[in-house]
Amino acid sequence: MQEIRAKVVLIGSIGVGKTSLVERFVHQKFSNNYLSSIGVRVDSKEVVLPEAKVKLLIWDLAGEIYLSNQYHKYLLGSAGAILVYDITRPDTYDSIQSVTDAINEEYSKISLVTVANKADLQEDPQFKDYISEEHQCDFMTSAKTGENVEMVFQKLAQGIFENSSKLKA
Amino acid sequence: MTTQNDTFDQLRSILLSKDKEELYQINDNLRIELLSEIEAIKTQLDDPDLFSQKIEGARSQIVDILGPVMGRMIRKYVQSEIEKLNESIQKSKERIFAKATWKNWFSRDSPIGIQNMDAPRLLEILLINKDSGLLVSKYSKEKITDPDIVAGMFTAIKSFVETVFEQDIHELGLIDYGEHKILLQTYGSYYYAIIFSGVNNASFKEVVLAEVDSFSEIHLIQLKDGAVSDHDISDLTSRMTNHFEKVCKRLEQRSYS
Ligand SMILES: Nc1nc2c(ncn2[C@@H]2O[C@H](COP(=O)(O)OP(=O)(O)O)[C@@H](O)[C@H]2O)c(=O)[nH]1
Ligand SMILES: [Mg+2]
Repeated sequence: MQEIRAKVVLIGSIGVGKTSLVERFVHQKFSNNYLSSIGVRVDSKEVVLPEAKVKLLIWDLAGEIYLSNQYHKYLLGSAGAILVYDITRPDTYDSIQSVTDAINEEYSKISLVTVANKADLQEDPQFKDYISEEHQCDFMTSAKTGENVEMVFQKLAQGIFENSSKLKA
Repeated sequence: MTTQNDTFDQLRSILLSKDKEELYQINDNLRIELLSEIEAIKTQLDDPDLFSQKIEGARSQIVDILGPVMGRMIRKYVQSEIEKLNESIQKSKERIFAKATWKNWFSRDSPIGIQNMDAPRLLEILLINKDSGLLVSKYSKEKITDPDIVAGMFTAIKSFVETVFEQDIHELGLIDYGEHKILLQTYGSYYYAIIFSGVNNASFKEVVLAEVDSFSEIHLIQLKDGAVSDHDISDLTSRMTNHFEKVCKRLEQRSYS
């Protein structure tokens, strides 16, 4: 089976749950007083697709890097990016919009997955419908309950694999 | 040597460990303040002894404040920078007072062991893509638990330090951990992380960097940006092993103490 290694970055405002999502995905644990990450941290996990094994090298960036627009540097060499916002803080959604545009324009080869996190904090199904329609997010996740977390990385790995096959063809 | 393995394991665990430290936001002003403070101390003091003392005193303060901000690896970097400063002060003092000659005689005449403890030993070379941080090829004397993560972390730290100090790092003893030193050498879109034990010394460094250069000239031409196939990589790894196995043997015959 084909094996691929790929750099993936998480992007989003401070406190939206990027580090918690990685923790959830890589270690399957969640602590309520999780301490924010500092600088940059790299984790890794393999996703097995029907066609290939994709080893994701997941870069979790500190919020300061995002705020100061330095995330551009970290997108270099990335095969995928996860854009995360917090369902309870509309400003965090606005803020990833411009990033999404910039990535689509400058880094068209990067696979993108947009994630509305902290779904556990919003029980109202109507609100959730509204979010998924208006925001065109790929998944509503909760790092707390684990809801859809696997799916996010699965979809990203699939996108990366398809992109790499296109490149080869 | 067990102590050597221990430190290497510790280095690994630092690289692979999660940062559980307090939430601590990077404060630009604070950082600039600290850096200019170091500069001020440097320029103000001409007396090497006094300088030594001052910087020793400031060390814990600087490390305490910068530490949680930049993570443990960066703290090591700051520490090693301070150590380097101290080392060069120490050296110039030795030159001035022409003492410590007995020390050199001692180590030269001493029974085997003392001399070799300090001799640099090449442990590992990772060839890494500068942007993606993906490991392209490696030569290792020992098995690394997850070289992909180590390569990614090196790249992340490199990027972060470059961002903080606003300049690219081409050649730098970036990380100084116990008996282990990591040298970074850029080559086009790639860089090498050269890990060795013992005391850094100019002629050892020169030989290793020259070998890295000659290896790159022959073998890196085939690597094109972003398009490295698995076949290329396994091929390159065996060539790298061949090449540096020989280099290692030669280095061990000559003693760089
Ligand atoms: N209820 C809830 N809290 C979350 C979730 N994800 C993260 N958090 C909390 O939000 C805060 C910030 O999370 P963190 O992962 O550090 O965010 P980051 O700055 O984007 O890395 C922490 O207190 C987490 O416990 C989630 O899905 N649900
Ligand atoms: Mg974080």
